[in-house]
Amino acid sequence: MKKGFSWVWTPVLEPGRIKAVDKYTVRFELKEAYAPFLGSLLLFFILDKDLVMRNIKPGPYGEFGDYGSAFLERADAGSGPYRMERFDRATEMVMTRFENYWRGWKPNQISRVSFKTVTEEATVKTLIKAGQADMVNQWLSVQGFQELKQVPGIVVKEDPSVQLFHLQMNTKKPPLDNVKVRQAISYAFDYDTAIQKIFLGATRARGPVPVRVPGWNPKVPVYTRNVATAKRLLAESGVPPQNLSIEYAYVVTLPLERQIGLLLKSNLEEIGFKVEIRGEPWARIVELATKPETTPHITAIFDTLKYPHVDSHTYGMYHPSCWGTFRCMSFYENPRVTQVLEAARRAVKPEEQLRLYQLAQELIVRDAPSIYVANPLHRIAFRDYVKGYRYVGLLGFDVAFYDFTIAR
Amino acid sequence: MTFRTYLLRRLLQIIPALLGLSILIFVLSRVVPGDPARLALGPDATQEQVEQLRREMGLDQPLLVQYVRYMGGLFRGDFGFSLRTRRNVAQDIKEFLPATVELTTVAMVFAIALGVPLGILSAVRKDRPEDHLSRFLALVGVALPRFWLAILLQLLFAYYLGILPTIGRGPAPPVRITGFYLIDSLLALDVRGFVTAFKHLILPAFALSVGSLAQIMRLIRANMIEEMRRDYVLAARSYGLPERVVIYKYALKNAFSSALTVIGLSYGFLLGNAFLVETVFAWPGLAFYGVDSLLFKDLNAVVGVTIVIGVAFAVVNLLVDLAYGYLDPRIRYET
Repeated sequence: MKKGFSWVWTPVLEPGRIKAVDKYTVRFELKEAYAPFLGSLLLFFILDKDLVMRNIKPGPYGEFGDYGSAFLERADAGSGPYRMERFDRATEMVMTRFENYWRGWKPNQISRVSFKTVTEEATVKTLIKAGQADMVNQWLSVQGFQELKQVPGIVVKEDPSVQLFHLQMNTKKPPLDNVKVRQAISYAFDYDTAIQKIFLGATRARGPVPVRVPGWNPKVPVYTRNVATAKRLLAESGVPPQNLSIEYAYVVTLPLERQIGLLLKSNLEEIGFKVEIRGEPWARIVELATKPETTPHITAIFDTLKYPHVDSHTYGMYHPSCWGTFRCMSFYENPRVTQVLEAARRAVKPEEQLRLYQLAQELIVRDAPSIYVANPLHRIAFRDYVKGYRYVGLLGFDVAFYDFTIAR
Repeated sequence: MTFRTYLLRRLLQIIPALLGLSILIFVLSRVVPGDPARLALGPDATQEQVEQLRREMGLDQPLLVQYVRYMGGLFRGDFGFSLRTRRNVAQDIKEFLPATVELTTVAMVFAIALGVPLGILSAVRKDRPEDHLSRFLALVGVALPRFWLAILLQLLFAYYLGILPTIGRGPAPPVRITGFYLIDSLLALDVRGFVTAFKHLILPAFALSVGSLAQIMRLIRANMIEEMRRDYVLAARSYGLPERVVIYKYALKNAFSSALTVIGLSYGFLLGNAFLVETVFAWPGLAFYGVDSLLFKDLNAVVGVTIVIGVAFAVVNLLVDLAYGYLDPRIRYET
């Protein structure tokens, strides 16, 4: 169908080369070794083929019709602990437990889950405070979670996330095409203020790979605020002061990114830059990212691990094949890094993969294609009688209700 | 001119207006920045996937071709495919429209039921404490942002007092006939369902109605003061007619005709602008769907919603024009 996460496997996997060996074994024949393959398998969702085939509608895929996509918009055909009872678009999804689930059921596990769609933060807070919701998702503002922390009976769970917040620098656009200018900016930024005052707690990012991810390189150089070094590098860059004019773009619906922009502006003005801050809708950011000429000098981006592998935040962000997407707004190009990343993907032995991915991280950070700000905390709030929550850290909606119990 | 000719003429006038609206929204939705195919497929999709979807949606065709195709589909009841919900926009509209129409209608009922009596009270008790209080409330009503009032109402009645529900429309009636929960629960003879649905409507409808309520109240007050000074009121009083008859049968009828315009315009306005209230109360309505579609650049949904609201606006205003004829015989059948 060439939809969803198919881009992860497109380089190495063709439909005709997937075979069901027996009832419980599937063989994938890859075109070549592909380091992130095993990790990416969790992006596959296993469906009941017979059920889907009974519900296909006419579509462009021959005998498979629409591959059941219309059916799966409103029904489940999976093998998990819960079945979809009702789905009212934009309102609510109700799931009830599947009694014959193979792992069985214990007392106090959740038997019915109601997902309500509420987009207004004030309403979400009212619901959980009033006890009309047992849990709220992770998309509230940092301040919203701070407020909930003060309410008796509500638990706000904080975990270091596998997300990177960084300010991507467009390496094709002057003056940021000069590595010394980018390094100067990296030294001028006030990381501590960003983390303590704006994120209200986060892990300092050390390179492009979030520090919790296996394969993160603890030896990558880390830029810390040093105005003198920033000024020296700027002088060495040879860029005349009148050319130190840049624009910072952020997603207009995220006040945190605006605050970061104001901090950056104040930091960079100290060393002689002029910074224009511009809020844009996400749709516009995605469009701007398609070409180096339209991509702003600096863009604030939250980027969560796409699959549990260091490849996501190295090859996925710094190999030229990703240019044109929001993940690669730095349009970074370093033939050596490209070569190392390609070798890492093709390496068969895990230790060789690791060595190469770690080398790539070091090389990338030296070129400063981004200001690596933070690995933000993942926050989620629930009533104190909800037990068993565990942060998994992938794909955003990863709440495993099967693990929960209610202890009133 | 007969009534039928008048009606026909008014109906024919709606056609070019809607055609103009469709062209305007079609062009505007396509020139605002952002690639809908890229947004629909997600930021990780490859360029090949994006191009494929653009072809499937016909976005690679000239704007004129796209418009002609869209309008051709529209006349067959095909509003096009929604990138977000992945089904025909007509289905989405059918699902979301009743919620907004129900909310807006109840809001207008609140606005009229409270605005008219308050306007009359204010006029007949001009410059007395009741008048000052009503005018103050009207001023507050016009000035208060709806979403803020909505949050305050929610906090007071749902959180602190706990007497009204916080969000949503409540449980759906057993059978969906019209999509209006109040009507469907009555048709199913489900009184408890009707009461529950009404309870869910009170806060959002009131929050939505306040601006219109204030406008109606002020207009009725001003018109009533004007009418009460006229000779026919003096004549009616001198005939010894009871004051209630003078006010409600004679003065109010004349004072009300200009308020009708405001009511008609408000109804159309609220249909398309219930977004903030729908957001606060997680109300699954068309305004919320429309704005969400706009942010997502779901082109067909944006155009579909705008045309539906445009039609509703035109129909309501037509009804208001017809009602004028009833209230004021001098302008009946005139264009």
